[in-house]
Amino acid sequence: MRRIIFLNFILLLLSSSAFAQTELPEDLKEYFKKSILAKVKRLEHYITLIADKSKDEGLRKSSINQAVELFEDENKKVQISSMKNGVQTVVDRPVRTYFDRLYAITADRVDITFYEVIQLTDVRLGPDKRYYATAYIFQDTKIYYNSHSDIPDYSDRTEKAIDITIKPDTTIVGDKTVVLYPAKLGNINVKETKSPK
Amino acid sequence: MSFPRTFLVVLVLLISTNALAQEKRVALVIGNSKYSKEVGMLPNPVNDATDMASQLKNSGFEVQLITDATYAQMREAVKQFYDKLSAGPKDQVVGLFYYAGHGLQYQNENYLVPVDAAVQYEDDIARLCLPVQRVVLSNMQRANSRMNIIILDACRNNPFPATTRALGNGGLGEMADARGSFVAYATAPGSVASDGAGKNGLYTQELLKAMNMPGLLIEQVFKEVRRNVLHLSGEKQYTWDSSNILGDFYFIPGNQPAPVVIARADPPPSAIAKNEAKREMNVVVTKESLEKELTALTNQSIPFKDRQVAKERVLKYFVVPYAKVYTMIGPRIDERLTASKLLDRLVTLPESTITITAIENSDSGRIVELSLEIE
Repeated sequence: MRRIIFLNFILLLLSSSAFAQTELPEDLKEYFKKSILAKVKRLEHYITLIADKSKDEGLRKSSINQAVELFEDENKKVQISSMKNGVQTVVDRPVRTYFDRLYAITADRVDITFYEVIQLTDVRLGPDKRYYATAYIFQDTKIYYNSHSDIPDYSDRTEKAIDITIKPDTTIVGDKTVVLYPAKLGNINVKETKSPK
Repeated sequence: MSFPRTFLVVLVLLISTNALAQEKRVALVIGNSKYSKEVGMLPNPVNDATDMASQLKNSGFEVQLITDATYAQMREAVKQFYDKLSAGPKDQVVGLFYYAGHGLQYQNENYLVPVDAAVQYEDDIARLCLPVQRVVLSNMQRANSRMNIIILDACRNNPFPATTRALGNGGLGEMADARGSFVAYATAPGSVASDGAGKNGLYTQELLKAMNMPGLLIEQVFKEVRRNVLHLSGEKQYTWDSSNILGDFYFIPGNQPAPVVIARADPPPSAIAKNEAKREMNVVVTKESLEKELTALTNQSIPFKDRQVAKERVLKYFVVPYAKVYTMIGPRIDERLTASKLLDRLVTLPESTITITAIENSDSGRIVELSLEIE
């Protein structure tokens, strides 16, 4: 028991040194929240738009570039999952590949909607002086191979976790150097996938 | 004033004077004009570098000047520059690197072209030209100086068009991760600068004037340069700078008289006068009308193709497509974009309302800088 308590103590020490516990100023906290939510909402918008074959092709293609720019870099991975006969398959794809494939799904109709509001963890300051958070999105996917049918040929409900990184940067505005906190999306991981009841 | 307060003021003055006196300023200045016929002679860089060296000496810099330098000479000069920076008191040295001549961007690196660079193939660029990030900037950063300043008047054109067609646009690219550094370019990333028809290139001509103004912070100096270059080039050349510095820097502190002006360019050439006339085609864009037009770009009931046409029209309201735009969340800047990037984004967004929070116009009414909220 004593050994377990000691181990817990060491773990606590390690975790507190990895992420500083300094309280962020309220205005900065509020700004981080708004900035992150705005970016995740844009991601949701682009996912829906890129998949929607009824929209203008030029708009869908432009949205791919816009969606990729939300990420820290193109090497970030998006996990996609699918359910077949109750078995879940998860695949990692680089961000641009993910959006390109979403654009090109060979189906008559693809509807992706978000059934719950975005959830967001607290923003933490890392030892590398960057800020980190995780956002959760809740996605409904319906794929129709026959556009006349009201019943989807495939559907699932997926919860995804998005890593968020904020790397402070400076810029010159007017005569002053100003610190910016650009929120960028990182890897997107599947937390859970279910077939709808 | 009571005695303790007087004493405190004197003490603070003494400390600040001492800090200035202890600051060591070291500069490396390179100007390359005498290129081969194939690469293309440049009339101004040697004049630019020589005048810059004199101006920097007036600002208290110990200057190393080389002109028409070969690759070996440039490498050796950078090595000596590093030695001088490293020999200074830790965190009390300001290093400044100035280059005028041919430059180009290749595979995310900015290269300065020595006069002996005989580039035939793309691969030759990395071998025969001097990389700014990998060699100049990294040496300056390793030297542990208080501040590093890099000034590149090098975005003239791609000097190797036959061998490097794949490079696409000319000019230099913005450097990422220039920690503790102030990097200034004659033009925005990826575009080209005017050589000028006078003794100096337009950018250096205006920089020399601005550096001579006492009491201007380095940020203010380069803003002054941007304003004047934009005006004199008929809104064609938009200078660029990026900063990661935290401390203040003055070429000439406010309480000193301005030194003798050492370089003045010839009167504006006829080309500039022509641009001035062209600029008379004024653009009238009010805050309210711009808000309406930007908001309309997000209107999903307007076909995407029509919004693309509207986007091109709105882009012409800006002095250049890469004019600075800031998106705001409350009082904070959320993102720094260019005008064309903003418009590309707006046409893909769901219906939004755009509110302009600040706008800076040029003499002709075109937009130089814009801040806005997207909701």
